[in-house]
Amino acid sequence: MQTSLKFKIINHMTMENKGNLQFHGRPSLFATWVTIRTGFTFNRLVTLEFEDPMILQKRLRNGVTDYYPVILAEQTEDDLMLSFWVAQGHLGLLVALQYQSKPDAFDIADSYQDVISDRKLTKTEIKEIFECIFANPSVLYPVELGVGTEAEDDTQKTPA
Amino acid sequence: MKLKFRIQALLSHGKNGFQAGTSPMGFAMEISERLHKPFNILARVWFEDDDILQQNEEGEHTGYDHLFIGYQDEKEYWLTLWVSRHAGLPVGIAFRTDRKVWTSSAYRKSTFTKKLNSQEVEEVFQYVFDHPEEIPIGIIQYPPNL
Repeated sequence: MQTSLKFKIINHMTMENKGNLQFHGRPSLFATWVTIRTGFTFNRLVTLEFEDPMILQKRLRNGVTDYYPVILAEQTEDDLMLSFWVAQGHLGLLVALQYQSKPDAFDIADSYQDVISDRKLTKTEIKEIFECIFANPSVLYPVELGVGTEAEDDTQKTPA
Repeated sequence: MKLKFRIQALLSHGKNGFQAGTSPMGFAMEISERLHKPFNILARVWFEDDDILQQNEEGEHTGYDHLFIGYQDEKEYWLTLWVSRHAGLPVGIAFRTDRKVWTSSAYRKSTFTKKLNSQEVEEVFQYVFDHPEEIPIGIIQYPPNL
């Protein structure tokens, strides 16, 4: 689908021979914090990098905030759950959550109100991001480190 | 009344990386798998009052384990505290950078014969941060990097 927003998806996961899924780097600390706090389980962790660097950031007197958008997802055999967060360090706020099996049940989380930014995403833009990922779930695949198996997709990867 | 507890380190260096007693090690491995993160900190909390974070089920006193599972290297240092109830109930998490303790929503909703309030949970976490000599912190990861 045509989306007006331009963004890259950055992968923070590795697998070895389709097992031993590991999360890496700063987003993995955020994922751990969310898992403990909420009780949700996740098996996909990516961050987004918008072409417009001011999206979901706030100008400060001496620079710009270093918030980063995170997608924490759970891929199961028959469904895909996406949750979108704005993180800072190992903490963050939920923006929206959706199951692929319930396309009509899309809502912005109350906590999105607490995200202070000069360029917030609109509900339509967030929905576009979700639809884009639902249509291309392979962008969420972990980097395969296994010997003798080919990575299954050709998405951009940033190995940890 | 002051909360009385002690910390028992469970990890030691073995032939193939870390080793610990079967039950806490198995539990920690499952949690590690759930978090998709390795661990190199595993320690038990012994509360002097054995009603703390236990239940009475049909007259039987439960024997839940209370375990710190965490990780430290030059880049990150975090601790999570768990009750070995069912698949594992997380009590909370803290990062060394700010030492702020976050309790889980599951813990806040849970019931035990005696529950730690958020100040007491914080006390246990801060004790571990303040006494690194009581937990062996390794440089070997589980799962080991082969």
